[in-house]
Amino acid sequence: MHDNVHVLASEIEAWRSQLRKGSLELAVLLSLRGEPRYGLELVERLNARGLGVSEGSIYPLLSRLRAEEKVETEWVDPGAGHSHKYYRLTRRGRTACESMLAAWREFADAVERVIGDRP
Amino acid sequence: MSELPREAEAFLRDLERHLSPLPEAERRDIAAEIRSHLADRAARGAGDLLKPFGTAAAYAAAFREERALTRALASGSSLDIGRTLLRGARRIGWWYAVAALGLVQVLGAGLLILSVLKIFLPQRIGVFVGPRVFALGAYSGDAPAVEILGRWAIPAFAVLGVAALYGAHLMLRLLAGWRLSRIRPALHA
Repeated sequence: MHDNVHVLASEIEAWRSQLRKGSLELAVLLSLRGEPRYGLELVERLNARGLGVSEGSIYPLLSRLRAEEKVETEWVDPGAGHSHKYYRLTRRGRTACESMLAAWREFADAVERVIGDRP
Repeated sequence: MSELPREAEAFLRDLERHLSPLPEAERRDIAAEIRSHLADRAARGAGDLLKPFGTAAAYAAAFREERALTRALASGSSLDIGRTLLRGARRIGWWYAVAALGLVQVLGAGLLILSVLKIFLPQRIGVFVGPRVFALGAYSGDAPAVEILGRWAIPAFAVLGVAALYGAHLMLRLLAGWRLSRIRPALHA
């Protein structure tokens, strides 16, 4: 019985991890809609909203988004302290973000409808 | 530039070294960005600065392999995808899978060639069946055998060839997509 509960908990955790993986790109693009941000700023912003982003995970993703021309970057020296690499959405990134958001809402609505079905 | 602990400096050196397949400007840019991140975290008194990054080799691999797979998938070429999968393969199973799909593609190309050759060599190409013979493709006619497909061999070989080529290509794309999903940054709760 205890083993079953343990297996189920690890399966649910793996499923949650897949959900997070699938939504990280959208979450990052959404966070860049308003203003340019740098990596740590993005991690802190997403974690403040409960997403649980690992610090190291954000940079390979940002690197890919730049390679796909969805974001552009600029090193900004604040004068005091050290420089930060800021990410800004490109037109292509904005379009991708809107499309992903529409798909996400459509999917979430569908799941909600299934949840609302009578057993 | 902010001072970093010695182990963080060593991590950055290792990271840049492991990123070596990437262009130098990109390598330096990635290392500078991680340096900036670590400096911010150090300034805020964070404990184990490097824990979220794992080893420099594994972290660099995430950049390299993701970039290579994304490019290969965008190129749409089976050869590019297969080569990239093999380059990142750390288990023998990947070699078997890619080799098997490569073989299916070679067979597919062979069937397409046979479908064309059948037009010019109708007696020699086809599916041959005899008391001691079963041959698909070109047959020299050493033992008595009957070609059972006739002209139907042309569309049959063509359809099978395209199906083999396309099916193996789709499987390679699926494998690359799955591999990408494994190495893309995971979020940890």
